[in-house]
Amino acid sequence: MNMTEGSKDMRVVNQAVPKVDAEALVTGKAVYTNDLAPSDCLIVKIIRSPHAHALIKDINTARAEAVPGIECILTYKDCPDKRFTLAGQTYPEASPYDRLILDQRMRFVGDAAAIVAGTSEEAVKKAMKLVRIKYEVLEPVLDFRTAKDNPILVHPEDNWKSLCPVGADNKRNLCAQGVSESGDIEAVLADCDYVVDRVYHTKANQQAMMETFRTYTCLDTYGRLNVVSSTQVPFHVRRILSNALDIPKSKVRVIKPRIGGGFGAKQTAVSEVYPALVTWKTGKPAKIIFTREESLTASSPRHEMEMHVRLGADKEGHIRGIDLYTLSNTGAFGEHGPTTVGLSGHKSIPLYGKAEAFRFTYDVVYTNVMSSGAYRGYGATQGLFAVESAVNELAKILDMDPTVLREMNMVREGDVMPAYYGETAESCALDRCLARAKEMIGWDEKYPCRDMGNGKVRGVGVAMAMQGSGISNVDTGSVAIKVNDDGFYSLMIGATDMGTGCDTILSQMAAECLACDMEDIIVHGVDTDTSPYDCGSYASSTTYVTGMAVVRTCEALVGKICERGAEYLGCSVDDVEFNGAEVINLKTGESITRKEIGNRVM
Amino acid sequence: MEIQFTLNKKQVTAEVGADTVLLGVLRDLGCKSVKCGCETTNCGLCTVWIDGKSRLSCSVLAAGIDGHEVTTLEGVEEEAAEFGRFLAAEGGEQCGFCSPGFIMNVLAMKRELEDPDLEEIKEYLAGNLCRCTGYMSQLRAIQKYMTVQKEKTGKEAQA
Ligand code: FES
Ligand code: FES
Repeated sequence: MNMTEGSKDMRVVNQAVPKVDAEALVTGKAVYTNDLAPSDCLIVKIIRSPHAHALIKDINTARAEAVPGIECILTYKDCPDKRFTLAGQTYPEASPYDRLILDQRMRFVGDAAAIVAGTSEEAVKKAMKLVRIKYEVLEPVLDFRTAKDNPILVHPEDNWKSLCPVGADNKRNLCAQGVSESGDIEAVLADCDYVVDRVYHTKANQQAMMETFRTYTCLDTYGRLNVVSSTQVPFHVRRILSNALDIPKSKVRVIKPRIGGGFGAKQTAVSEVYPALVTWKTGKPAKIIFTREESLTASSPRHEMEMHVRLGADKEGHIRGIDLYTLSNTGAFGEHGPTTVGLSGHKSIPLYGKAEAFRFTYDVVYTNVMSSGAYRGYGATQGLFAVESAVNELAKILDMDPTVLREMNMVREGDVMPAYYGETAESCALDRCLARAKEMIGWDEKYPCRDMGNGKVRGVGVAMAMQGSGISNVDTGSVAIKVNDDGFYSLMIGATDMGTGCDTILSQMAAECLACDMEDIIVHGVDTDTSPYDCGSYASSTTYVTGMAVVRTCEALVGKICERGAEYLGCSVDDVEFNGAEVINLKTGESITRKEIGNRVM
Repeated sequence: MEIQFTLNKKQVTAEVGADTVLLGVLRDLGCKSVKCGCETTNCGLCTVWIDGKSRLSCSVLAAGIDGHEVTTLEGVEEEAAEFGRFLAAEGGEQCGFCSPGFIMNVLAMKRELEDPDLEEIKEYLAGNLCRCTGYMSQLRAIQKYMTVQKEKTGKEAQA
């Protein structure tokens, strides 16, 4: 079904509507974390390590504490000695539990050494200068190629732990390690007419959302920790804070206001633990606003990777084998390390479904640089860059049009993908996609290049990619819809609108399914106390995963509305129909409005 | 020191230090539309008008504002909402965090440039970063808005 066909039978979905929060956003209303923080919040800042690897020998806070307005200065002595991860992932997280809120060991330039909280920015800044920290400076591991089995350990501690079998071993600087293969790759490559053997290096990069990391926290009437945070993963943040502070989850409430962009950065709880610790210790509201510099130097960028690709083909261009080794740099901590690396192979190798053998091996190593995290594409981008570059190199060697080489080898609908967990590509339009892209580019006229006649030559290039919407059998979206008095609906979602518009599109879907106007639906998200559980917004999955939850919930709700309607009309539920506005007894023509049902059920 | 200035047509006073920047003062005075994205004059999120001219409030010392006139989005809300509807119709406010600063600069451009072409628009707004949109939707919104404005003033001139 194409878009135009689809829109014919859709009233609300597929229509261009302004976002439900548009008016507030374009008139600059106070809707983001820092706009909502009370003015008497303690200001929280972090003293960061100037050393890539060091042990704190002594922290003297006496003079700093004497600065008027300073509420507290917290060090590793004030934190639970129980490790956790900041990765916003479904429990049990693949990322190792390797962090403390504050640690005695500094693992990168920018690592948190102490927290300073006070009533004003000036007081806090002044106090930060007066804290005296004695470091024992240690040699760091800076080159990720030398990290594995390096005698210098980033995490020598004994209470480091890995919850999942991802091949992690802190005594080898390994955050994860693995291999998946099918067929005899060495034999196939040895038998190939051509083998392209290349190494590609991709650097870490920053998501650079316009709103830096920020959180404010306070205690509510019941003594519970309330957290308002710029996050993609409110429910994961609840667990992370309960782990970090070693308090029950029931003591934590996380609210997500409007978010100034995330792009994966906020799939890690970068800023939440610091004000949370301050509030938990002092009972007072506290907030942290990362500076842009902190956002760039102590955050959660894309993993740096080095990929060694060996690609074997016959003379005609049939790709017979792919061997990929990925070395991924997770930095000082393992957030999203074991999972992102997987995509570098699982989302690149299966593109070439006809290969007789493949092997994908990887090491994810700890080093003394800032920790990495999630970033759109989640590791796939790195692997695709390497494999697709190698395929283009092969095309060059074979003197073939790289699109033709791909058409010969690409995975097609119905193909089994040994390199993608042995799954079958049940919906795959890659062939049509490439054909359409060639048409749009004007490939055949432009390949390989045209002389523009003005001293410039313009070329064209191609690469393919595959991605999924969500993680199958892991990601969860849930939705609750209630009918209020007067019959309007509340749509409760745990999915996180971070500028992506899910509050709007999920309302559209609900209005479509309930045959009402969008105005009849109020959307509420996200408050972990009241929203249904959702793993959060990532992996381009909200429309698909939470969207399907909307559809199913609406179906169930329509059933219930019919039951109540029939009851009030005094007839059998089999005889009624709900048209969005009223429940009608099809036999007698009698009806009862949604509004009346809403008021009567109360 | 105490400074006095006009904020969105109202007289206000504020107690500031010698190194206090205007951005924080404006937010403390309740103008939450003014955002901080970089604090180093690189993003445009903190754009306000000083005596009618676009300025980056993260790089203006509050002390120098004494006696001047400052306008934030809150002071031109209706006009902002009008342009904002064009922005929303084109999908130019995704997370919206850049919108207030961007809108202030668009409205300043409208006052300063007569009938700017695409290149002039791009140049005028080069300092307003947006991570979400890729700018195309914003440019479409501006062009449509400008066209409607032109029609309006044309009609007024005829009347
Ligand atoms: S905060 Fe002023 S330009 Fe970025
Ligand atoms: S809309 Fe998000 S930064 Fe511009």
